[in-house]
Amino acid sequence: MTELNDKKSYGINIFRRIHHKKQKKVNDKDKENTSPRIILVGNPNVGKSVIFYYLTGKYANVSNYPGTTVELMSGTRNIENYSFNFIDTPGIYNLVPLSEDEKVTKKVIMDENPEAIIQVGDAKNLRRTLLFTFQLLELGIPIILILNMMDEAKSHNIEINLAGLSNELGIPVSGAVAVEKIGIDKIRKNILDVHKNKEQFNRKIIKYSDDIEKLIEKIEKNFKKNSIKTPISVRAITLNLLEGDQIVLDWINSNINLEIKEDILNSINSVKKSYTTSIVTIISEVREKEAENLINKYQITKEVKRDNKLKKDITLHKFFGPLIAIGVLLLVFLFVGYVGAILIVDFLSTYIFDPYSSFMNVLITNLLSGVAEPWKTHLINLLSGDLGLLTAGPAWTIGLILPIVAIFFFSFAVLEDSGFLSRIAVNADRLSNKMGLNGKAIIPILLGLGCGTSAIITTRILDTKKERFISSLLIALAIPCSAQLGIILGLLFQVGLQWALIVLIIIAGQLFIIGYLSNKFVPGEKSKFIIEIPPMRFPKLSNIGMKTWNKTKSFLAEAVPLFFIGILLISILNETNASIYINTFFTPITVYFLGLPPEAAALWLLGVIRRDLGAATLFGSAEFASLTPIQYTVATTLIILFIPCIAAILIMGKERGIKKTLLILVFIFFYSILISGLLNFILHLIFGW
Amino acid sequence: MPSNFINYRIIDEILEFMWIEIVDKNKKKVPVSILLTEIMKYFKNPEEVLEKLQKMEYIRIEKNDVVFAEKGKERAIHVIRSHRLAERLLKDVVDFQDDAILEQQACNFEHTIDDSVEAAICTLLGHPKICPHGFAIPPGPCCKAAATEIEPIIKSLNELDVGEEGRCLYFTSDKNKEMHRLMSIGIIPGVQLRVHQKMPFNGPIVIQIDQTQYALDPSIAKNIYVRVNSTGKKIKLNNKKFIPKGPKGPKRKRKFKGRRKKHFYNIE
Ligand SMILES: Nc1nc2c(ncn2[C@@H]2O[C@H](COP(=O)(O)OP(=O)(O)OP(=O)(O)O)[C@@H](O)[C@H]2O)c(=O)[nH]1
Ligand SMILES: [Mg+2]
Ligand SMILES: [Zn+2]
Ligand SMILES: [Zn+2]
Repeated sequence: MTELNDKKSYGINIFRRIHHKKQKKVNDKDKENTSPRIILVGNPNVGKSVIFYYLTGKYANVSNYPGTTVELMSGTRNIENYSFNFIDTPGIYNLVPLSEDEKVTKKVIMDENPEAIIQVGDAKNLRRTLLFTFQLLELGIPIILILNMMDEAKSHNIEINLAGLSNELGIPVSGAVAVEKIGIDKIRKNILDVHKNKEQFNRKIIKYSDDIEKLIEKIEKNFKKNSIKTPISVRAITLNLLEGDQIVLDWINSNINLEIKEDILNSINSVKKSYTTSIVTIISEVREKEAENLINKYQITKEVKRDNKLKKDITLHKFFGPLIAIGVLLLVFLFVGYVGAILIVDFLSTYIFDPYSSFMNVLITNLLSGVAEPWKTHLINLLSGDLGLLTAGPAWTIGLILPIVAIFFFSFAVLEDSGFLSRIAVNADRLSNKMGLNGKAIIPILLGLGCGTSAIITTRILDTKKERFISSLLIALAIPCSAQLGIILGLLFQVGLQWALIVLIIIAGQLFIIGYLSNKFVPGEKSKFIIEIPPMRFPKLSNIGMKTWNKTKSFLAEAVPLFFIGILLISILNETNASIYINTFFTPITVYFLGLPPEAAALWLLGVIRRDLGAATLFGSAEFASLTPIQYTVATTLIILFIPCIAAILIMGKERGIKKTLLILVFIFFYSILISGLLNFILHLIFGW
Repeated sequence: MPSNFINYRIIDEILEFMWIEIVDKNKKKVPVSILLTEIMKYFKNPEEVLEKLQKMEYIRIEKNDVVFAEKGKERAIHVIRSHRLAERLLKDVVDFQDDAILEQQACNFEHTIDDSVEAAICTLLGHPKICPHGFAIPPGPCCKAAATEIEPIIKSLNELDVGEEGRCLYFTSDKNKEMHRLMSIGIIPGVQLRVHQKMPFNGPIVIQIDQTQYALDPSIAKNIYVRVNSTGKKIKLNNKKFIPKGPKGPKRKRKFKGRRKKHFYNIE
């Protein structure tokens, strides 16, 4: 089966496929995959991942904010009888990368020897699309241009002469409405065409000023003379070096001998120096003139309709904007905490997991009736006790984590797809400045509410080391992941709303204080805020369902094994009485400093495995059933602030380096205990002992 | 003085040349030999010109190098300012495209224009800091005086009001990466943009280009200069006197007071 069934809707296809398709990253792809590579590139948020899905059947996250895709994704599929290997990339504005996530895309173009590059562009922003097309055309690689979002272009009264544009650019150009699956077949046809007659003639190449052209010629001669093979055209290499491209420079450094390299870099520098304005401006202005020219020729605009909706965009209102942002987030918390963690979880435990656990207990007890004591009790407790593998295991994973996480990802998907996330970023920019960040950092931080690991990967969209460090620190310290958040909210709502509020204020306060202090003490610079604000779109239920399913699945895949390991570990400690020693050992901190029962030491141990497991213990085990509100408040604050789960730590080690990760962990370890202890003290001062 | 054929035009050209060498190329001083070759372009007998310049207290000769004397520097600033302001005027306001003619016109301008006209043009253009070629325009007295009397049609982006539109003209940032990022999202000299919203507390400025909105940090927007699309209500050139400061000039409403930093040009 090579073709997707055209009649089926997006969502149904997705659900059918998900069962037998595993997502695979490019880096661990099978090396023997010799299918020609086709790379999908384009500006952020133009629909690359939607098109990738239709071309390969693999779902890469699709959201309505720039920077959704931060890692490469690859998938192989046939078109007719030819097999192709497609690669989805993070969106970029420019072939000369300026941030980490942009480097990924440039590198894959340089390394993967693509047969063709598909540029996905936004039809209603032809200028920006063309500015990028011109750069792609210079690469010397066959290009296919897709103008997506034709529906939105149309509603702005923009029409484009695709045939004319295709003729002028010398490449196939087609339109698409990817979300409606319109224009996908045409893309397939264009890919086949390019595959069958590999040469594309007359690709439009922009000419720059004489000295730049002379420089290109000179370097071309130099490469030819020394018969150096290049992954992209020498023209592109020259221009990219002029614009200060690190990736191309790296390639030069490792592929060209010193003498020739010096020669090339010297001639490039001398041209660069001969201009007083930055060479980037000179080059961009030439491209812009050409884009303007083509727009005048091929864009037929019956009086561009200014988006009236935009004018009334209340989410960017001076006063209502921030209020709405806060309101919506609180609403999400309420929804997850109340509907997820209370209503659904209660329902599940009353009607399914409580009866199930009692049944299991009886069953196991009967099965083990022949076993001699003390093994019998140990085994019963291990398998079907309060913290039994067969009782607490399923109850906590399926009965607790699953509904909360699913509800969270569902509500968050609505936020992502509506375009609200970028608006929150705009509203929070000023505040983030105080924390050494800019508004863009709000995106990974908010994603951290879903899952810390993917949030730390998303910090790649930030420009400077300082920003990536601070946001990782804040995510690790003060951002509870969805499962943990849900459990804690559920607990606190039952204890009383005012306690939930206290925890929220403490955590938000820590977020700000630590952000503020890191801004003061972490060396490095903050980059300035530049972000694209996508139009508000009505979320598509199919995509929300798909995304919720996908994210929940990978969350559980990560969490469930660790939950079982954690549960096993804690019951073994309990059964062997080792826990008594541990509890006694920590008593000075748990009991005297934090005012918690000695058993709370377990919360930490479990918290290191997974923070939500710590929370679940608080929720589920009998020792904690009789805690006072103050104790609940202190315990939940501690769990939230405490070091993140193993998976997040590992990712952080990979992204930030071992040294910085250790620094963050040690700091968080002591700081979280300190703050919780202080909170314990203060709450008692206020509410009495 | 019949024996003297050296006219002011030549002197201006020499001072201009020195300014470019000393300030724009940051060389501190010009070797006498180089200056002599330059003067040769205009006058057969370069030593004579050099002597004249010294006598006028325009330059000083230190060992084998020439440096500005106080008067010479003043004159050079005026010439350079007039030239580069003229370029801006022709390019941004008159919308003149041909570079060669532009250069020639500006060259004529620099010798004829007087101080008050220079100040008026500078004010009209919003006290620009760089010429279309990227060279710095040394600030004159008008730039240093905080108050502007007439609404400039060239403004920095963060001075635009919500709803105002304009064409991006040039940037004045020295941060390459920042400019690069702007240009890659399509904020390139030449494009039309519109201020959609300004967030409170000096927050980000939301602009719209074509069909896309971007939010920019105000400190970036400050470096983007825009020619405001005329909406009719703007300046009436004919019946307003270009007096850059003084009690008689009509008071202009200033919406963004106190925020504009003064940029002083560093000559040394
Ligand atoms: N109206 C409309 N919306 C579309 C179309 N194609 C994609 N979208 C929406 O555009 C948004 C972005 O889609 P993605 O596929 O995530 O875009 P991307 O190019 O992969 O974005 P990045 O990964 O951030 O670079 C989603 O909300 C899609 O639903 C289209 O043809 N019409
Ligand atoms: Mg994507
Ligand atoms: Zn100039
Ligand atoms: Zn001035």
